[in-house]
Amino acid sequence: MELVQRCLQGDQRAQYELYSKYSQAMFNVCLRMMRSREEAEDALQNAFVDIFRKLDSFRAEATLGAWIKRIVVNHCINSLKKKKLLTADLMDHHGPHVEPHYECRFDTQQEVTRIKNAIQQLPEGYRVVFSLYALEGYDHKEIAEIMQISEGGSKSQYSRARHKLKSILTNEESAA
Amino acid sequence: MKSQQHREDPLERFIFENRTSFEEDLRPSDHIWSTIQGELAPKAKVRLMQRGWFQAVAAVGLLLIGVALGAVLMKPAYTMDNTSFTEATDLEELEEYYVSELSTMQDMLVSNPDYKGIAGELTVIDGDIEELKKELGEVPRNARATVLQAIIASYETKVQLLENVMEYSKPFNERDEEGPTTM
Repeated sequence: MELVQRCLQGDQRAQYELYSKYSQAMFNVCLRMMRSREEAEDALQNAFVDIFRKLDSFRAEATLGAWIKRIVVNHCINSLKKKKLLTADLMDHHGPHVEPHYECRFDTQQEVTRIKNAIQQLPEGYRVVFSLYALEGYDHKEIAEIMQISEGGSKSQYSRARHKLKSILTNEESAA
Repeated sequence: MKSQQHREDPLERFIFENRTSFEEDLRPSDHIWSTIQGELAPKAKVRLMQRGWFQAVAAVGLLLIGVALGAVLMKPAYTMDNTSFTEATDLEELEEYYVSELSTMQDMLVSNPDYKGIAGELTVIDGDIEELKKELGEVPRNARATVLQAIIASYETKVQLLENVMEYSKPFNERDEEGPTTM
């Protein structure tokens, strides 16, 4: 809270300290949400401008990190929505009904790389919901608020995303 | 955030158990912070205006110090003990003001790539200032005011260089109409 107070007093050293403390983790969030490094940096930059401007509205109901992360995620979502990348995916409810079987087949690091690559191949809407739930740790109620969809919509979207991800992983195995 | 309860799906469980491995060791580019600072410029601009007032008052103060010092240095030798004391105090005050001012500006610009570009020039000026300070103790009394003025001018050059970098780091439409201070 002392750091927040110093930022609110216009202390630029404190602002830089806050940015340094959270920028790398938040950049990771942006990279998972956006399609390229450039887009991730744009989202991070806009989010931090917003963070400093809204800092007086921060209440210790959540941790500062969680509050910052929520703003960063909102910026990523808004950026994707502006590019109309989310809407089409969220409307796509079609797909096979039997979920492919997944099992870890490689050593941990190889498997992580394989899953990361497969996540990148997901359509935007799937990737975002999957990342928010499985990697960023949000629950479906929070995802519903963030994406302005129903909680049920978040659950079904996540389910389809997981299904699609397993299909990608299974197809890779078959192709190998 | 959801509680990290037991996950039955093997893919979810694998991701949950290895979440830290999904973090990339990537950092945003250095220019991002400069751009954020530029976007927050309205607040900074107010402070810059306040600094303008402070600088004007300080400049008048320094001018008076210079005049007083010149007058004191022209006094007969029997007053020199007091003069040396005043001169040292004036130099200390002068340095305190500029060191604090420059330190604030340098902190603001630390991640600015243009700042790195003028680092060499700043080092040369620092060398000049050190030389001048040595000279101050060696030159005849009647030349000390001139050396002191040269020290002030060197510090002002550093301030102007940093102000130029700050001005150029702002988005184009927020720059001062007359552009950055010319050297």
